[in-house]
Amino acid sequence: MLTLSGRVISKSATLSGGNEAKLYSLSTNANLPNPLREKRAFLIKQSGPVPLGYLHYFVLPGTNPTELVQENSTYLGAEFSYFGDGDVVSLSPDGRIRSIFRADSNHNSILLTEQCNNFCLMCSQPPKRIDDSWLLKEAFEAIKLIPRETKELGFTGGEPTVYGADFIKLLHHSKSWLPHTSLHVLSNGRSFAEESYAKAYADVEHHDLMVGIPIYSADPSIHDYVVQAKGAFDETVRGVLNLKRHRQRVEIRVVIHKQTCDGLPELANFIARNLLFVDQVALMGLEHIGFARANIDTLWVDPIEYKDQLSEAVRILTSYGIHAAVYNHPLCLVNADVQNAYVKSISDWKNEFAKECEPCRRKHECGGFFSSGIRNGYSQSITPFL
Amino acid sequence: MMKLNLSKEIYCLEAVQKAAYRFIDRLTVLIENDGDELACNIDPVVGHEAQFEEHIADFKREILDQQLRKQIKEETEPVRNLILAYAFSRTGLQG
Amino acid sequence: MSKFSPLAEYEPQAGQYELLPFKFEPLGDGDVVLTNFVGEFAFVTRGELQDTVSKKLKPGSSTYGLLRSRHFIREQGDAASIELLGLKTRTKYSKLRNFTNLHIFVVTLRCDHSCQYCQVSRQSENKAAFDMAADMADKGLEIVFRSPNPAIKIEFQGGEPLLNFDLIKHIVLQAKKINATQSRDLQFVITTTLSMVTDEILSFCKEHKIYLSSSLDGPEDLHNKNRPRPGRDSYGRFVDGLRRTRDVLGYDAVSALMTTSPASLTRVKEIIDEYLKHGFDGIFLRHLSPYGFAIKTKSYAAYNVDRWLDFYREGLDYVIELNKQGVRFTEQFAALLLTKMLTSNDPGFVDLMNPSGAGIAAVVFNYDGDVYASDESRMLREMGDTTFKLGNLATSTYEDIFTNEALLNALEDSFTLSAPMCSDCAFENWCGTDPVFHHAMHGDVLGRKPESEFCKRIMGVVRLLLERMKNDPKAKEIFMVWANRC
Repeated sequence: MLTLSGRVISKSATLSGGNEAKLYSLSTNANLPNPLREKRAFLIKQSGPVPLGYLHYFVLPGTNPTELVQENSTYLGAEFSYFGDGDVVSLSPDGRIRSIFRADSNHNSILLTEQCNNFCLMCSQPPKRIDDSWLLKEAFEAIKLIPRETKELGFTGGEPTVYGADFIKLLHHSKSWLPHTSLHVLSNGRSFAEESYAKAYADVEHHDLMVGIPIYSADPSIHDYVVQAKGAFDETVRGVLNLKRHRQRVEIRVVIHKQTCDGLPELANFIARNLLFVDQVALMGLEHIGFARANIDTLWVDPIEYKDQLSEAVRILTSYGIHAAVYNHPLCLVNADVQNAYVKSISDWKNEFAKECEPCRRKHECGGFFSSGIRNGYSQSITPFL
Repeated sequence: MMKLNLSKEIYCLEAVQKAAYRFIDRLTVLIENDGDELACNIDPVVGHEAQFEEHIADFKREILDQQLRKQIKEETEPVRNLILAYAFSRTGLQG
Repeated sequence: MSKFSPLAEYEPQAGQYELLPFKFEPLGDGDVVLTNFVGEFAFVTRGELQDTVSKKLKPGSSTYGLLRSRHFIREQGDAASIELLGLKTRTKYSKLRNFTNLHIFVVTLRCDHSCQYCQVSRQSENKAAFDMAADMADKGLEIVFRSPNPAIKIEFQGGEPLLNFDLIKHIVLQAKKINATQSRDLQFVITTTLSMVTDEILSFCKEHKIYLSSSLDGPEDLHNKNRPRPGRDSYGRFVDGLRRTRDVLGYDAVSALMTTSPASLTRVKEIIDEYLKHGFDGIFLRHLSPYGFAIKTKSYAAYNVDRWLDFYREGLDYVIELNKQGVRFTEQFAALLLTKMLTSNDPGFVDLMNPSGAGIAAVVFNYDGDVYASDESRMLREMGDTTFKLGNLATSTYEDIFTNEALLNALEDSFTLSAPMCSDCAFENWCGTDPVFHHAMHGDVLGRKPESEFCKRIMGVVRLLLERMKNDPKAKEIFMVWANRC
């Protein structure tokens, strides 16, 4: 599991003066043309002469550079040796370093806020009632630094649309600065129940934009309970309808746990009869992190116990021509008949395998586990394929 | 041949008529006003004499079902109009 | 103290819900099937139905959750359900405004067969008397392209249409010429026994992507008995024609339909096996058509729907078994109904639509230029009844034809939502209206549904499908695939 944020070993003097964090685009190219150096930070990963002219220098252990000036250099611990060329990092005056974007990853997401108007029982990013709009400002900056050939970028939260019109501005901004990058937004969809907001979103006319919206049950009461907000189901569904009226791409996401597993087939039926036009349905395993830990007794069910409901849901969706995808499940806990929908999926920064998996000959096909699962508890039914 | 009297307070004419219609291939039912009751004069259709008792029993159950249908229909008329208004509005989606 | 609220917090208060429009029908096993405004269904017990209507259904019970999510009841604040029902209704009727898709040209009444149940064939060699003339066909095409439908299907019927292949060629070429500036999705089909198919014919069909729709009534003896021709070789010529057609036009370019006769009723498995043998991936288990039989053999009176339903049940169960064994084979009549029961799509099957498919979905141009509202209407004419004749190509305009009183009255008077029994029927969403049949059998376009063979047949098949779906999850899976193929 990668450490995405932490503290630096030593920071330069110039930083202590400012209030705000600064973003840097990293380079490991010692021969980068001079005009390009003044806007970037050089990442020292190996011993050797230090190229001059960079805005800042980040030093990883074991490199011992000699010519560095203390004012614009920062020393990092070994946990950040995964940093690489093209990455975007944020360095704050108090010495915190955060990885904002990793160039060698296919799973980059920018956290826009921790505020949310839902309060899901299993939320992996528990909401905070604070003004964290600095995250949005940082996002605007980061987008200007992210390499233009980046294929895909995610926007997550909290609930990104709490920013209202400013979120729409961010989308316009991404379209301008990253015109070839697909965007994937995670949202509870409720803001789009307001038709004018859905229209504003559609008016961005982004070339490749998809929003992932969770619906946890066909029964409004159960959905509202899972997200801990009365009326959420109704708003979310109306939000989806408005988005589709404006021809926007929508993915329905379902996290499967004890409160949602029994209703999976009926939910598949509901989607097939009412939301046939959605672009795909993602059926996802539970991440044992955030609120899920506090509510684990309410939520935990061994996936092997709902494998048949999962199969039925996939079968229903597939029969109706809806693209279904199964994420975040170890391969040995699902039936063979979901193979076509199965995705080897967990974001690379948070997955591992359990000790039981050692002899398994199908690890390369398997999505593995969330590291949080390995740490906090996982299925007792793991069976390696021999 | 049999006569079935139904209290108007409980059974409405429409429900009895509809039930009678459903059974038109098996029973001939003529309905008349009889004070505060509806009087049904029931004869079997030719060829259905043997199951007359059975058909009468089914007919009675059908009257109850028709009452229920009427209740549902009346209660849902406003929302039915609302749905149709949506269906024919211009802001709807094409499935 | 937990900052999370329990499920009970989000459940509605008892007795506060509102009914959404729905209908119900008792099932044989004591349970009841409910159908909502757009034909989605749910199985409940009698007690649950009673509780639902008297507002006693308990929030939090599984039936409550089911009925709320399937749009049978709603709570205050459930605005999405109204929107969704409106949307689904719109989808169901969305094809209506495209208007007529199927245009049938009866290019000749001459035929080499003299099928028992056919009322239209003429053995005569007198082409002038029984062939459609080219100028008549041209007028027909004018009518065809007046249809606003972006998809147009032109179907050639007879007699044996291949006996007037020159006219078919003329019509195809002319239609394509007109279509060059209109870009409709234009499809051509020839219904034929395949007995008269030649290399020249196949070559033309290949060039213009024409489909062939043929007939296979069952095993050789049954097929030949139904379809006498000089040489008594109808089956043999079909098999040969099938092979040659597939060679040239492609495997899927030719389909087969069966005609059911009283003799078929006890041999459904053999008939299905015959279809399997010839590599078809489906069969349409048709009902007995009353028209020809009524005249020729007088055996229609002896046939009754119950016997046909036995035939159908046996056939459907056999097909379900085949599917369970991994054979991909569809029963197409079930598939039509299932599309209506399990999706918001309309399969556009002329004989099972409301409003009636007559005129709206299909129109027939007879060899003599007379225009009929449907294929059945034409057959009725052969029995001497021209009630559904809408005009003649030589003298009638498009407006004359499609605003003809005969058509409009039939459409209006047979509308199920205004019909006794139909308007209350739980299966109305899945059914259709057949004004021509009811006119022929009962003397009026509605008929008395309790006495109607049409009604008994549809209700019988629907009950069978519901029963299978209720009791056999594997059958339901199979049905779900069929429903989405249409």
